[in-house]
Amino acid sequence: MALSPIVSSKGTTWRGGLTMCLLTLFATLHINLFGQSVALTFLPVIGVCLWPRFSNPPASIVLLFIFGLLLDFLTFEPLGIRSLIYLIIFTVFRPDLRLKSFRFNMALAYWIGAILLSLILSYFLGWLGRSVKPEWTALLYQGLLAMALFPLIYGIRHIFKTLMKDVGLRGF
Amino acid sequence: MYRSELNSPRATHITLLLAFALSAILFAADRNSEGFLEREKVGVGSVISPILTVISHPFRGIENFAGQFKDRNRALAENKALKEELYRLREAKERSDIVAMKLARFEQILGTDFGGDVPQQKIAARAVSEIDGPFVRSALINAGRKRGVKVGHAVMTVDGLYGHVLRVGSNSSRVLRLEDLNSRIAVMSSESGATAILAGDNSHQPVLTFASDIAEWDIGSTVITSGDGGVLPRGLPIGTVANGGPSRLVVDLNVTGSPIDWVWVLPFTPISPPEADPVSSDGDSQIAEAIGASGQESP
Repeated sequence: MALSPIVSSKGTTWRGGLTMCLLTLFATLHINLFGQSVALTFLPVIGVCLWPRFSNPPASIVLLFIFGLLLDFLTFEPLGIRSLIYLIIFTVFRPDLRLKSFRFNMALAYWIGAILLSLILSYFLGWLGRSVKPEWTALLYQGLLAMALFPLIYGIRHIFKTLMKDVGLRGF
Repeated sequence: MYRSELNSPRATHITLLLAFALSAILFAADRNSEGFLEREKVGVGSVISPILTVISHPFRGIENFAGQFKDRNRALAENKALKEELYRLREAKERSDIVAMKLARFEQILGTDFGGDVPQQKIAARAVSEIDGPFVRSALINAGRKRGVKVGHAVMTVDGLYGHVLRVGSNSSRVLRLEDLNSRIAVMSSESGATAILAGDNSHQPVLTFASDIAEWDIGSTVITSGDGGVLPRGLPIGTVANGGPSRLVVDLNVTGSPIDWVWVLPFTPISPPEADPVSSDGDSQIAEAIGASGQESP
């Protein structure tokens, strides 16, 4: 088996998987506050955006495919639509090629870009899948909600990073 | 530190291509086949619903807290209105009891018993996941076949009809909400008795279509299930009629705006068509006898 030197990917892919698992479960929940419904369907896109830099790319792709499919199963949306969206975002943003660890401004810019891309993809793939134009106001509302939640998720990630030792080596 | 060939760019590209191809195949298959991987979808829902029940607990707490806060603000005004309503209802209940007594007496005299359409037995369940997405308006509840839930059963909240059961797993069921694009419910106006079809359009206000007579639908009149088609029981409250634009009537659903936590599944048995409910040979002979008897009696 040929070996090549690289920074260890061991122990970082599971973190991305765990984050995606939690975000997928939260994405299926529905909250109603003061008469306003709060749907978090776009929340897992944060997981794709903040995917660990030094993760194993093939394993990451498989995990993204599985979690995308799981969300489709749970939300009864066209099968494969989330997997396609996650894979396209992963291909465009390539977290494994990121040189530096995220700072807040950079992460926010990434996040807004990813949300806009996933909104466009959701609209057109949903249209193709259901042969009916999706309700764009619902899409936009969910996208804005996901953007508003970003600082919270980033904060939780930051706390998690601080709690973990040797973050530089682990590449999170 | 090292990585193996499994971690190489080539392996990444192959995995990515395979994942894309598989996703596209699933997407195309789901588009062309309505019941594609239906059993698996129900199975995944059954497995995940207990986890979602646990995770949703804190959120239900937040919802209830927000609801209480809102309720307290309007408690005084509501209290006054409720007292007035209570006085009116007491009188109405007395009259209703007398009418029910008369009806029971008439039924006894005529030897008939129409009974009530709405079943007495209810199956309580929790809505663990509600999808308010751009494509689907559905919910996952944590009661399934093991508790007697079947496809087509009506699902209610304390406010009114929420939807009907679309798919059933062993421990969970998928509910198609009234707002969903595919939802079609036979309804009637409780005031005029006019009938229509309530069609969901993925908005919060489903549309009244195929109205028997549009003039008989007044803004603000109460919409209930008509029981036509024998799929849902008659008389389940749905909402009130609202103006949805020129010659377009929509319905303000009773369930809109309130947090959905507990729901009730009504195990209503739909009317079977004669083909599925054949008369036994004894029944045939009885009918033949009855026809013969009536034939002999006639001049």
